[in-house]
Amino acid sequence: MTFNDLHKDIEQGCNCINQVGVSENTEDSFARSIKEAVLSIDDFKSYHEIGMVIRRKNCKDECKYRGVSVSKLNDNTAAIKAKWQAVKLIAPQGTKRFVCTFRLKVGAGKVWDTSNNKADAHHTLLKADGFNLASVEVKEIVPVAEF
Amino acid sequence: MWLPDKSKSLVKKDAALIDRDYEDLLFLDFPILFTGINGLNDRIVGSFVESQNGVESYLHSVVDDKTYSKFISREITYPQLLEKAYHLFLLHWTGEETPSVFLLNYNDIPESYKPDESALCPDIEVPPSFDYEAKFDGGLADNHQAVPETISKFQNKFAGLLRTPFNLDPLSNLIPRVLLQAPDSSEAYAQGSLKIQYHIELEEKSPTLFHAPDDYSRFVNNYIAYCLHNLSDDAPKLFEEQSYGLENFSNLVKEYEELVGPSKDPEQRRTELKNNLIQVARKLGDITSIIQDEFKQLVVSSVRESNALPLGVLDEEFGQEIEEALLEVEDKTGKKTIKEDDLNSYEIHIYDLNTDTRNGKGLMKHPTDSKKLMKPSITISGKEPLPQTKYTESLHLDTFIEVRGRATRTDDVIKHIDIEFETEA
Repeated sequence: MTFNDLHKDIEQGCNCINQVGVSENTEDSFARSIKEAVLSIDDFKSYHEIGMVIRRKNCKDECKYRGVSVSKLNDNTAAIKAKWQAVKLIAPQGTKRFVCTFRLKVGAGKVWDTSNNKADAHHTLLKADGFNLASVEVKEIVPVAEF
Repeated sequence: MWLPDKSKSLVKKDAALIDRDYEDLLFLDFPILFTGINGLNDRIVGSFVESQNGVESYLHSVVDDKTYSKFISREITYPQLLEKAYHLFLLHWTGEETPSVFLLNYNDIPESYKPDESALCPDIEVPPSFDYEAKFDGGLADNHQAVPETISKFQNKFAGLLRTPFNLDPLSNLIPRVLLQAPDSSEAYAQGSLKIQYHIELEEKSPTLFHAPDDYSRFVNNYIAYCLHNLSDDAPKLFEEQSYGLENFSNLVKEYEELVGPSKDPEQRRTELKNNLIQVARKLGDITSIIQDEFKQLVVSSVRESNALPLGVLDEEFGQEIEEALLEVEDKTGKKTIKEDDLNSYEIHIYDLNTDTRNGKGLMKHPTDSKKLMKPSITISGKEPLPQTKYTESLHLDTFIEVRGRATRTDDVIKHIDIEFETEA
């Protein structure tokens, strides 16, 4: 796996794959909130990829903004929904209506544990070069309310 | 897209922008809720609004320490924080080095962009740390000054407060050494404040420590935060059946049990914890009474990696709440508190008196134990100047005087006297 796109124009010496807690994970299932009931490659675009400007210039933050937020599933759907609900209450325009659960296929990328041991199990997906919709094995897409 | 009134665009943007100590409070692909300090040393809380047409919009509010402390402890909602904010800004980032900034009122926010009335800060874990900061605001602190005697009294009480959780029996193997730390000079003289920093070092009496210091500091920090945010509300119910329904107290008990292990007598352990909390409440009341004449407030923070997370704020309002709670506790625990309706005469030596607020402390002989003295708080009525009266004479000459007032007693012990000002010495 290569991560040249992930690291394009990143500050010198910053390698997101070297962050503590980064590994390939094709075993666990993950959840990500998405806009529509049909999955699009745009649903896996990071803050950096949609053109938002990273203003905090340290390696860890740069990597966070270049990754994609996913939650590792572990009998913790209530905590994950609570987090999405918190987003909806604080920033009503930041809400997404559907949830996609999936596994990563070999070569899709690496997953960075950014959970801080919290129940919503926030992880950051660091996509490998060539990541596309075939890189994920979709298990289910349902409205958030039915998750 | 929400387009604000362009006439409210600001040229000077320092107050609206986060300059240091940035921290995400809620993150999902990007910051949804975050905080930091601006170039004027004020606390900013920010939230995502929308991303449209290449413009990222965020709300930034400038809030005081007490409001922020109540927000992160989930005592107030996000809309309540926004309404209490000194200033509210809308920031438009378009890829430039600095954003466009618009000054707002809360009511300028369109309904579809307003946070929900029930929106709370997500649970923020107090990071494990045995470093603390006591920051005085207002009064003399505005000039980075304090009266040495006040600070001396404060330091002893505050160190005692930090040691109190270690009086709990299962933690008695630990000896907390509370040390003063020299603050970084830029921090010590931050605008309009005076800061004192503390560090706790733990020693073991015997080598039976099963936990890392972080485990203990996590508990102590949550313990202190509970005392500053919930104790004045919970205290009167702690000694009733209702204590089982107190969510924050129950969480504290659970955390305590996780730290020290299960007990053969859980009820005894709860009682021990309650009694320790009441000791803390008394110390908090004392600290508030020491500082409130000279400063507007004291902000107590846990510090980790130079980031200060406020655990709570002590001010006049907090002092009143904790005093009232303690009186109720004494009532509930079988001690009867009575406030006299009639004026009576008392012999008292006033040893502490603020002639502006007319509040102070006195010494009185104990009614039943000649070896003991009572230390009631006092308030002197009226608006007449206090200098050169018998009250200040008692203060300066260390003499007992006779006063007339209405006492508040718990059993036989006088806790407070409302003294009627008398012009005759």
